[in-house]
Amino acid sequence: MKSYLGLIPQYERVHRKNNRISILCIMLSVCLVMAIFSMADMAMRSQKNYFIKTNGEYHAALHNVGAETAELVSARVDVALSGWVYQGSTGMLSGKTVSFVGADKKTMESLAEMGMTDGGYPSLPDEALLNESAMEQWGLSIGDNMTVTVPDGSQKQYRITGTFADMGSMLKADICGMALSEDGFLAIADENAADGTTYRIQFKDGTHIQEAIKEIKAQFGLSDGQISENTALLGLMGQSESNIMQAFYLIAAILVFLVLIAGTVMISASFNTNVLERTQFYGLLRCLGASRKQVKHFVILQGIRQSAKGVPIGQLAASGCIPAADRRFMFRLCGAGDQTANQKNRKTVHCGYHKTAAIANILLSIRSSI
Amino acid sequence: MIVPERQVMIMNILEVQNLCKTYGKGEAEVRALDNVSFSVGKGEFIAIVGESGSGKSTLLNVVGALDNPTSGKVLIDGKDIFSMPEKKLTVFRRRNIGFIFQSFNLIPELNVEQNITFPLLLDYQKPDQKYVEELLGILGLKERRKHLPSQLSGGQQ
Repeated sequence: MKSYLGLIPQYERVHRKNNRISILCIMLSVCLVMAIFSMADMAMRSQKNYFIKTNGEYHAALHNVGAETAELVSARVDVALSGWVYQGSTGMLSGKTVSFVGADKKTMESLAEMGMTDGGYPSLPDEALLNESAMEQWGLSIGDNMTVTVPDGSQKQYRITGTFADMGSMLKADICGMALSEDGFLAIADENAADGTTYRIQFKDGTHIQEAIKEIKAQFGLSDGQISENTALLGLMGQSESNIMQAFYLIAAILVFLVLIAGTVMISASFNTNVLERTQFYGLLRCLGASRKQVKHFVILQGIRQSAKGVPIGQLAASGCIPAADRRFMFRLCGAGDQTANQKNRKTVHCGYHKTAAIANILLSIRSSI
Repeated sequence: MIVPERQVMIMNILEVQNLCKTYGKGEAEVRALDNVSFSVGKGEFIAIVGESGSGKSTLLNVVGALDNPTSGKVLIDGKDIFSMPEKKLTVFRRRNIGFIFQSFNLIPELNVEQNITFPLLLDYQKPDQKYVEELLGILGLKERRKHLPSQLSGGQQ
């Protein structure tokens, strides 16, 4: 034994049962914290994917603004991507209402809710994407031509260059959707397009989005009705100032605090199961000449050693539980969604939470020891 | 020969002055030590005797700096131990006071040799192996060096 701390492994060898109980409590605490935070995070990411799919991945949208204003906004340093999404005009296709949407390819892919599934994006004014169920209904294929009644009542031929995924809102309203290039939409737009058209903005990572929105409002003299936020997405990013979201954040913070308290109490309870024995032992060390600091070091190192065993086991246990639970739980909670994206989320979450849970529980163990 | 008072004080290894120790409050108050004063010279061997509950253990605990008095002074080699800060007192006790407890207070998880060297490790000193061997020889515990306290007789402990 080269140091007084060499007493610790010998103490653990003799008090195996108590040591195992403490390690088990640490393991359960790690498992609990990791499982709860992982599943909460996965639920949030799944919801985020869902909202991106249904609303588009934009952070803010400008309404009734001119091209000059839009260009100036897009030139801002904190703007990653921006573009016009034209909507609002409708027509008829074989007796069924068709909703037109127009945007450039990049905007459509990143900021709009339409997800292209096959073929190529329309580049000419007489090319279009059609939604999948419409293609199926009329037995159409990519490359076919179709005649559509446009908003002004005239007939126009479009060549189908690709398809996009059906949207719930479209199926519910029993309408079909046609995605056109910017020029294609502008060629047929009517007065309804003015209300439905937005200039969508995606900010760079790390931007304080609410501050940026306020700045844009002030800089360009926009009214409250001319700029809106994508509340659902910003809420999940923790950047919404909506009252409902603020309430959710508060509830989430309280739950986080409660989970951490539960973890601390679990570990403390195991350390306190043999309070009398430990009190006598530390009193004995003091009688032999150990200072308060040395006794504290002894206790902390004991806690760290137990964490070093309990934390990895707890993480392994959590890693085993989460994938088994999430396939069933997340499927029901968040819908089918994008299974590939959900799988990717799972891996990302696990890696991130291993480190966070390990650090959090080592700190909890040290805190509980003291 | 008249010895100057200052020299008398230096020759005393231990001086206890008006030592009081009280436990509890009000009706449950117990005055374990009531103005105890005595001195012990260097090289002197004393025995403290008394009936059960007379305060012998309390006196030893206070004199050995294991407990704090309610009032009074304890001077060891001229130093007032209870005027020292707690850290300094711990080190002083570790280096200058040896205590054999009634219940032995051996660390049950350590063997004989480790129990002998442990206080030195607390003082961040490297045990002198030759000295440890000599001690084991004197105590007749050479063959028992790797035994735990629970494996020793009362006398050996």
